[in-house]
Amino acid sequence: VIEIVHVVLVAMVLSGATVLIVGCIQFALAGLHVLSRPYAKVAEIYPAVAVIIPAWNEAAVLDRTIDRLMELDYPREKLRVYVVDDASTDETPELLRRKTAEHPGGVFHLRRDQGGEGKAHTINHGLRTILAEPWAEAVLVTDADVIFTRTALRRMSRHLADPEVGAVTCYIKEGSRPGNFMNRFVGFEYITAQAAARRAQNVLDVQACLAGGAQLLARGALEEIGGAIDTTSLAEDTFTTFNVQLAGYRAKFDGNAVVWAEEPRTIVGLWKQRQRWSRGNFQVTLRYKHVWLRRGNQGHLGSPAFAALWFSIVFMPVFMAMATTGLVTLFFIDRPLAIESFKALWALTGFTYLFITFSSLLLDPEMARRTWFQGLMFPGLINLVLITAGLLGPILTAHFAGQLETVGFAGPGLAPNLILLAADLWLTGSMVAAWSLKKLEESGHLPWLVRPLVYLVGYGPLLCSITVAAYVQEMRGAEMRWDKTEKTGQVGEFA
Amino acid sequence: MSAGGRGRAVFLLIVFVAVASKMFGGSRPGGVTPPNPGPSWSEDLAEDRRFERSLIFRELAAILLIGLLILVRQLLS
Repeated sequence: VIEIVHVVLVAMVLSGATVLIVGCIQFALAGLHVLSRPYAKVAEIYPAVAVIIPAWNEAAVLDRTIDRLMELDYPREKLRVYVVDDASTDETPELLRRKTAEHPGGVFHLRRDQGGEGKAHTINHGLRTILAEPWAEAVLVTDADVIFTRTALRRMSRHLADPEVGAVTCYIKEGSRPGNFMNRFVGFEYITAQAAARRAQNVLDVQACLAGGAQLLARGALEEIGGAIDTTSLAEDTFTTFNVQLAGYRAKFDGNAVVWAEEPRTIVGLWKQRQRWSRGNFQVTLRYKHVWLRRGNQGHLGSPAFAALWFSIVFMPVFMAMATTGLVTLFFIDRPLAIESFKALWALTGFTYLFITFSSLLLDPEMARRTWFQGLMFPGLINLVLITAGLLGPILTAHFAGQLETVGFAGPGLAPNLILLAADLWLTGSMVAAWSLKKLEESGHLPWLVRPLVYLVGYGPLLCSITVAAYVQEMRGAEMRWDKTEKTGQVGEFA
Repeated sequence: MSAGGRGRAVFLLIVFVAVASKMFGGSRPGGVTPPNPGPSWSEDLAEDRRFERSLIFRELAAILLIGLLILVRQLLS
């Protein structure tokens, strides 16, 4: 029985590396993307595309977004932009009147006089108008701040030549100008979460989420799912992605079609955005409980591989807590095994971290030039020290055992044991520390301290902490509020 | 560790640095607004296919780098 307990505890410890191991598998699959023949069924087609932009007080960003859409390398007569003004109280209506006059027949202003119901209702208002006419062959749902590169739409629409494809998304890059450290963290994160993860999902022939910032839907697929998107959750884009695939269509990601978007600059901004996403994922997990691990007419949504990808993200904080529990329990019942498990966890974490970081930098060198430092610092300085200990531990032990014991980092004394216990607790403690950083920023005290502390605690733990907060909100049945991410319009391309 | 082992480790480190510096130097197609007039549809496709083919080598390079690090770690410990 004791042996079984030990095995279970060690397994719990190693579960702490689950997210990184799944991340490595995703990068390996992304490398094999070409084998899935992503361009085998594309053709030079230009379907009539109706672009929907939901807008509430977006005067700061809309002007440029509309101009860029009108400059796309796409036949002018095949493109219409519908801005659904959700009862804006700023200069959005005046701006849209000007834009509709500038682009007659190209830009349309749809006004909702009773607003505030959320993004999904606003999009559905546009969909009702668009689908009432036979003109549109595809609908592109985007955001008011998203800047399309000139070839992005034609690169996306080529996939609709395959009648089995119902939805396409592209690579959304962080493009805030001048970006701050938080923007660069997001920029690096998107290499892993989009450029790599979504290519991996192409290989598995399933997509978890076609980003709401650039979601191209074939009219047939859209009508098949009822001509409207889900309004009962905070993840309308993920619901659409699932519903389109459950209706028998394929969903595709094109990593060479690129758009730029403005992402949060502060912890509080990131917290609002990601808590909404995480709560949405939680809602998707429950709503589609009949899909998970069930093969059949769900296509690849029911595959074990997709479940592994999905749940590694949804349960990320649970794995962290399990690892901490395993390490601390072993610390008190079997110290040598606790030390060996600690070394194994951090060596595993170290190699997977290096693989993911190297792969990300190689996958998008253009973004890597801007975000390499945040990529390296992604786990936070404290975790990097632990990773270094895991990677270099055997070398240090072999050559510097005496010195380590002298300075109190090794040996049987109290100090090494306290250090080990603190390190064991850090996996979960880092999430608490990240939450404290949010509180610090909210308080407005010591604003200069926030940035160095984020580097110390890490962006990864911050995301974990937000996921925990989202769980708590969902379990408390908190109100579903669409907290809009503030945009400044300072977004551009980085070459 | 023997002198030979140390020499091998140093050699592998030099290879590692050389490969890493070569790898991080390249540029990625797509994502940049092309000059007007832009490339044609078929040029886009050819460029995208080339990039997707290159991914397998980029991943192999990352695996090679990690493999080298593991080897160095084993040699030095």
